[in-house]
Amino acid sequence: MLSTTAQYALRALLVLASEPAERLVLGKDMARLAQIPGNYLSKIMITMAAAGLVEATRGSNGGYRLSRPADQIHLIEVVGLFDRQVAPKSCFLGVRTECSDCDPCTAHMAWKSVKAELVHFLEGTTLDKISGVPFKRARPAKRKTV
Amino acid sequence: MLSATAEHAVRALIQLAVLGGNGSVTGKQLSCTAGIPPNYLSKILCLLGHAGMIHATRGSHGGYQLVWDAAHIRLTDVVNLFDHARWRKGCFLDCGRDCKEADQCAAHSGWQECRDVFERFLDRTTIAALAAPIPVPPLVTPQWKGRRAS
Repeated sequence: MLSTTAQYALRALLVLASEPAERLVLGKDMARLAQIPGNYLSKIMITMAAAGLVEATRGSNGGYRLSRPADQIHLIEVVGLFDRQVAPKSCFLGVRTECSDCDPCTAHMAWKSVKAELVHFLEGTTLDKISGVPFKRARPAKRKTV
Repeated sequence: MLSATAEHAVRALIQLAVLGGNGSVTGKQLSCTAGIPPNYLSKILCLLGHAGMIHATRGSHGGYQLVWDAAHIRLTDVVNLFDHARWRKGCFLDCGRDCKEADQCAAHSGWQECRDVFERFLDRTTIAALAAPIPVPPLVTPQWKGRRAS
């Protein structure tokens, strides 16, 4: 349901949320921990830095950190950056720039309730509430030698 | 929600239902009316053709037409062709695990509700419903109009 980019963005933020507030995390480490291709991650981080969700510091001791505590970052702020369909007047079919009750597309009325449910979840959930989501794939257990 | 490809496929099918009638529609016409780049569209139509939803005819009078009745093509059928079905059982962040009631992640319950509503929407919405003209609300004449001033 969420685009891959939005999922990656949330995973990247979860890596930052798991670190102490002041600590800067290298992009390379984030890519490894969140399992995101490095180049893809850097583009996502640029968008999130521009939106004020993360702070980027250059230099040898540089890296990324959250610009706010995780309990103050709502998922809608992140997903809204990458998935246009959660925007208030977005059209499900993408055929028009704005879709509303007064000027609907054919999918609007049915889609409205789905979007309302999704937006309700994303607005009501903060990053710290999903910090228990395991974003690291479990490694296969080593075989015991008998 | 939908990937760009699935969204384009839905739009192409809607246009086929609207323009098709009993005849076929050329790729160029479809590309213009649905607003999809021609090369991208041809790949999408190829997949829809393999799935048996549409039929392509070559030649000067050729084009594309729906094989399935538009009223029987659900959004689920289209989405299953283009988008991975992993989100149906997968975790919120697609972490490579199946989320179950017994073994759930922190976002499970809230996400489950969204997913159920979305799945119902895909199951219940057909191409025919999306191709139908939007009903225009009747014009309500204000009661004061037409009355003579006494």
